[in-house]
Amino acid sequence: MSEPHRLEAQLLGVMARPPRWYLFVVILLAGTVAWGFYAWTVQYRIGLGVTGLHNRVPWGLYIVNFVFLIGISHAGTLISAILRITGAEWRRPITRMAEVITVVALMTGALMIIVDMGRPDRVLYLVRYGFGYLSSPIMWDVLSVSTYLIGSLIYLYIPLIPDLAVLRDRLDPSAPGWQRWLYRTLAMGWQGTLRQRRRLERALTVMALVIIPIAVSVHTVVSFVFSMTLRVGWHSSIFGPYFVVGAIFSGIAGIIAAMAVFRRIYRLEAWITEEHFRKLGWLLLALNLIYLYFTFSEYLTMGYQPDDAEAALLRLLFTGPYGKLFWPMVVGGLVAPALLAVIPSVPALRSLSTVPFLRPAPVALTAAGLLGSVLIVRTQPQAATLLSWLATWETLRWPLLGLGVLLALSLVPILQARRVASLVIASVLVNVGMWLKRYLVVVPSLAVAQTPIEAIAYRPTWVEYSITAGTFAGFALLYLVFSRLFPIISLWEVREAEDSAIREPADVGTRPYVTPAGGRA
Amino acid sequence: MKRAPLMVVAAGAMALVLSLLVLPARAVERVRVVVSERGFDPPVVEVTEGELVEITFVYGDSHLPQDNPHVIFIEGLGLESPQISRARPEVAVRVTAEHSGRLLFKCTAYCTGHDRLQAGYLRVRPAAATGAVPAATTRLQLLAAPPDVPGAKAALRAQLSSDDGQPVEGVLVRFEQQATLVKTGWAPIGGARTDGRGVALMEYAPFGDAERVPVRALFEGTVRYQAAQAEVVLELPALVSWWAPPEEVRVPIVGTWLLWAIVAAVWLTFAYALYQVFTLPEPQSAVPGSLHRRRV
Amino acid sequence: MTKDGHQATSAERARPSPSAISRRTFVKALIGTGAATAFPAVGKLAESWAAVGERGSGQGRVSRQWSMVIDLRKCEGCTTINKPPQCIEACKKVHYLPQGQQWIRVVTERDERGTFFRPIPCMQCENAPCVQVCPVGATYHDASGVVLVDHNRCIGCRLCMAACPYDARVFNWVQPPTPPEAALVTYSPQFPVPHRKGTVSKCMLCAHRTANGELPACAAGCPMKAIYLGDLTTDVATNGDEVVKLSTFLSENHAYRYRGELRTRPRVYYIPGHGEAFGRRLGT
Repeated sequence: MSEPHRLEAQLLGVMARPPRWYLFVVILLAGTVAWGFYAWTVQYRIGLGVTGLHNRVPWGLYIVNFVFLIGISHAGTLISAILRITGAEWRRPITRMAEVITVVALMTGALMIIVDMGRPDRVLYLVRYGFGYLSSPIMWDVLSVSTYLIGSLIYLYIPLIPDLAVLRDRLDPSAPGWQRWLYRTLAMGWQGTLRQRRRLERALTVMALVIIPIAVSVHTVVSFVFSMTLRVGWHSSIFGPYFVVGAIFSGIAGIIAAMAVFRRIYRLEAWITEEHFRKLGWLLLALNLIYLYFTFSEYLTMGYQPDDAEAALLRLLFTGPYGKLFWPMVVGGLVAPALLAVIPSVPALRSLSTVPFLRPAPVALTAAGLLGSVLIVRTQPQAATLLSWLATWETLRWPLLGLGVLLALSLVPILQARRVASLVIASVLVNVGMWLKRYLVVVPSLAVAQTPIEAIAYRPTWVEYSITAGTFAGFALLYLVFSRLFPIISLWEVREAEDSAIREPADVGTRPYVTPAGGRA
Repeated sequence: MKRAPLMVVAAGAMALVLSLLVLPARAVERVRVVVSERGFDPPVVEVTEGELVEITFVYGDSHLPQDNPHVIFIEGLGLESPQISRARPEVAVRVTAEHSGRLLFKCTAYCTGHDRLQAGYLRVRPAAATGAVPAATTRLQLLAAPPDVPGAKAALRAQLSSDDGQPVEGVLVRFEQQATLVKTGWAPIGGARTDGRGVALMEYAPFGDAERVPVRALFEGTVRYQAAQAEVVLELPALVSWWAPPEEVRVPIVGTWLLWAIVAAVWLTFAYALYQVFTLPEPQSAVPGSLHRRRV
Repeated sequence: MTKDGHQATSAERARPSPSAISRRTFVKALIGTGAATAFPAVGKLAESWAAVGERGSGQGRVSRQWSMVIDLRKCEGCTTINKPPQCIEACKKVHYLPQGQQWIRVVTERDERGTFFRPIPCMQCENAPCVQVCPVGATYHDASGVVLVDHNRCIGCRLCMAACPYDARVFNWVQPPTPPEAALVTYSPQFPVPHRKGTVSKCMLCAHRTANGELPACAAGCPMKAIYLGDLTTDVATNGDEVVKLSTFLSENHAYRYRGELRTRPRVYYIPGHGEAFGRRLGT
C-alpha cells in the first residue's frame, strides 16, 4: 500500500472507531465544561463579586486566560501560513492541527472576555456604539480579533475541502446521515480536477499572505490594551513586539503539545516524525531566546533608574509575594525549555550518555550533595544556627545553582535518548510558564499602588478556577470532537508531497521528508 | 488810617507762624541704610508702629570697579525699592509699618555680596503710650474705572486722607470685589500702599458672572489713623473666561479612510478566497486529475 | 429643582466628539472615527467650552467649568475632631454608597516637612485617560468639564479602572443594596442612584448639586472648610464660608495638581500644607 493510502486508512479508521477511552474522556471534559458553566451562572446571578477581584485589582484570571489563549492562537498562523509561504515541506502533516488550535483558541479567548464583562447582556453595545469610539484599545481588539477569527475559520475550511471530498466519497455507509450531509455540503463538489486545484491554491496563497499581518496585529492590539494606560510595568513601548513574540512562542509550544498528544492517541508516528519535533524544537529555541532578550530588555529598563513605582513593582516581582511565581516562571518557563531543546542536540554532551564511567557520575554527585546537606543539618548539634546560616539566600544560591547544574547533567542521557519526550516536556513548561508570565503582567501592575493606599492581595476564588478549568476543558473537548469529525492530518497535502516526490525524485527541493519506514530521515 | 491794613497783615502773619508752631508737625522718621557688598549698615533699623518712616537706601559699592546695583525688598510690607546703583546712589522709600514686630528686608538683585544682603531687619516698636494722641479720623474715597474692552483690567483708585485734608502716606489699602458662587461674599483682590498724595492704585481683572459688581477698599487703621472703607459699583462688559480649553495636538487626519480601507481590503480578500471555493468549476467529462489516477 | 438634578436624555447628554482633547485627537487622527465628524465637532466643542458672550445674574446664563481646590493647610484628616473623615461620610450619605465603597478617599502622605492628609476625589481630568479608552463611550465629559458615567451604557469591561492613574474609580461587584429613599430617585449620570450591578462608578463632583447652586457633598461636609468649589469661567471659588478669586487663590498659595507630570490636566488643585491651620505641627 502506498503512504497516503495508509494515512487515509489510519485516520478514517480512527474517526469511525474511536479508541476505548474516548467516551470516558469526552464525558470528563464535558463534565468540567458543565461545572464551569454552572460557576458562570453563579457569577451572572450574583455579579463579579464572587470572584477575588476588587477595586484595586479589577482584572485577574479571566484577562490572563484571554491573553494566553489569544497568544496560543498564533500557532496556526506560524505553521500554516508562514511555513507555507516559505515552502517548508515538513509542515504538511501538522498544518491542520495548528489551524484548529487557532480557531478553538480564538473562540475560547473571546468567551473569556464575555465572562469578564460586568454586563455581558450588553456585549452587543460594542457593535452598536463601539464604532464611534475607536480611540479605545478594546475596539481595536474587537476589530482585529473578529477579523482574525473569520480569517482563521476560512483558512481552516479551505484546505479542508479536499479532505471533505475524501470523506464524502469514502465514508462508511453505516455513518449517520447528518454526517454524510455535512461532508457533502461542505465539500463544495470537489473532484480534484486541475482547475479546481488551481483555484484552491490561489485562495490558500491569498489567505496565507493576508492572515500573517492580521495575526501580528491581533496580539499587538491585545498588548495595546495594557500599554496605552499609564500603569507602571504596562506603559512600555516594547509591548507590541513583546506580546507577538510571546504569542508565537507559546503557539509553537502549543502545537508541539498537540502534535505529541495526537501522535500518541491516533498512532500517527509514521507521519509525525521525530524530524518534526526536531524542527519545531529549533523554532521553539529561537523564539525562546528572542523572548528572553525582550524580557531582559524590559526589566533592565525598568530597573536601571527606577522611580518609586517601578521600584515597588520590581520588588513585588523579585522578592515580594509574586516572587514565588516569578522565579519558577523564569527558570521553568524561560530557561529550562531552552536547555531541554538544546541539550539533546549537543554532541559534546553525548559522552555523558555513552561513556560508561561518566554516566552515573552526575547522578551520584547530585544524590551525594542532597544527602550530605540533609545529614549535616540533621546530625550537627548546632543544626539550628547552621540552618539559619544556610537559609540566607546569599549562602544558599551558589550550592543550589551547583546542584541544579548537576541535576541537569544527570538528566542529559535521558533527554538525549528521548528527544521527543524532552521537547514535549519543554513545551508543557513553556505553556505553563507563559500562562504565569501573563498573570505576572496583568496582576502585579494593578496591585502596585498608584496612590498611597493599602494594598489588597488578589486571590482567585472557586468561580474563577472553575470557569478557567471549564474553558480549557472546552478547548480540549472542541479539539477532540473536531478530530473525530475531520481528519487531523491534511490528507491531500501529504499526498501532494508524495506525488511530487515520486514524479521528480531527483529534485532536491522536494526531497521526501518521510521514508516508508517512518523513521528518521 | 494807614496803620489798619498793616496791622491786619501783621496779625495774620503772626497767626500763621503761631499755627505752624502749635499744630503738631508731621513727624517723619528718617533712617539711612547703606547697602554694599559687605551687607546692610545698620543691619537693624528701629521704627515706630503706625508712624510714617522714610528709609533711604544708600549705594555703598563705589569702591568696586564695576557697578553693583541692588533692589531692596521689604518682605513684611510687600514693598520693593527702585534700583540703587552708581547712577542713582540714593533712593527713598516712605512706608508706615501698621503692626509692631520684625520685618525682613533683603536684596533681590543678582549682585556681589548677595548672600550678605539677605538679613536686614526693621524692628517696629510698639507705638508710644496710647491715648496720648487719639487716632485721627480718616476719609477713604474710591473710584473705579471699568475695563474698556472685555478681557482688559479694571482700575481702582483709593485716596486716603485724614479729616483735616492731610494725605495718609505709606499705609496699606486692601481691595475686595463681591462675587457669587453658591454664596455671595467679598473676595480679596490685593492691596496697594498709599503714596505721597494718599493714593493707592490697583489694576485687576474683574471676575464673577454679575454685570454690576460692588468693589470696596479697606484701610485697617493704625495707631495714628482710624480705619476707613469705601464702596463703589463697577459696571462690567461681557464676560471673558479666564480659562480656555487647552491647546490640542493637531495631526492631519489621514487615519479615517486609511483604517477603513485596510479593513475593507482584508474582508474583500476573505470574500475573494471564499468565492474561489464556493464556485468551484464542475469537472470536465474526460480529464481526471492525478488524484483520481492514483485512487485504488 | 428636584434632588436628582436634570435627567439625561440622549439629546441633552453632551457627548463630545471623540476628537475633543489633544491625545484623543492624535489617536483619532491615526484611527479615525468614520466620516468627517472631526473638524466640525471640534469647533462645536470649543464653543461649548469657551466663554459665553453675556453676563447675567445667577448661574443660568453662564456656562460653568467646574474645578475643585483642596487646601491642605486646613485638612487635618478630621483627627482633631476625632471622627472619620467627614468628606467621605458626607459623600457616602448623599449618594447612598454601599458598605466599603468610597468615591473620595483620604490618604496620608509624608514629605520633608512631615505627614499630611490628602483627600482624593475624581480628578475630573481635562485629558482623561478613562474617557479615551471607553469602548462604548459610557464615560464622557459634560459641557462643564465634569467626567460622568452613563450606567445605561457601561458594559463593565473595567478598562477605565485600569487606565485611571488616580485609583479614582470603583466597580459595583454585586448589586448594591438600595435603601428605600434611594429607590425613589430617578437615575441620571449626574446623580447615579440607584446603583447598578456590573457598572463602574466614581465621584461626579456632585454635578446634580452644583447645577442647583449647592456645594458638592464633600465640600459642604468638611468641618474645616478645606474644600473649595471653583468655576474657571467666572474665576470664583468658595468653600461655603469665604469667596475668593480663583486664579489669585491658586497662584498666591502655590497650588499644584496631583501627579501633574502625567499630563492628565486634572481639575482638582491642591494647596500644599500639613493641616497647620488647625494645630498640626510640622514634623509630625
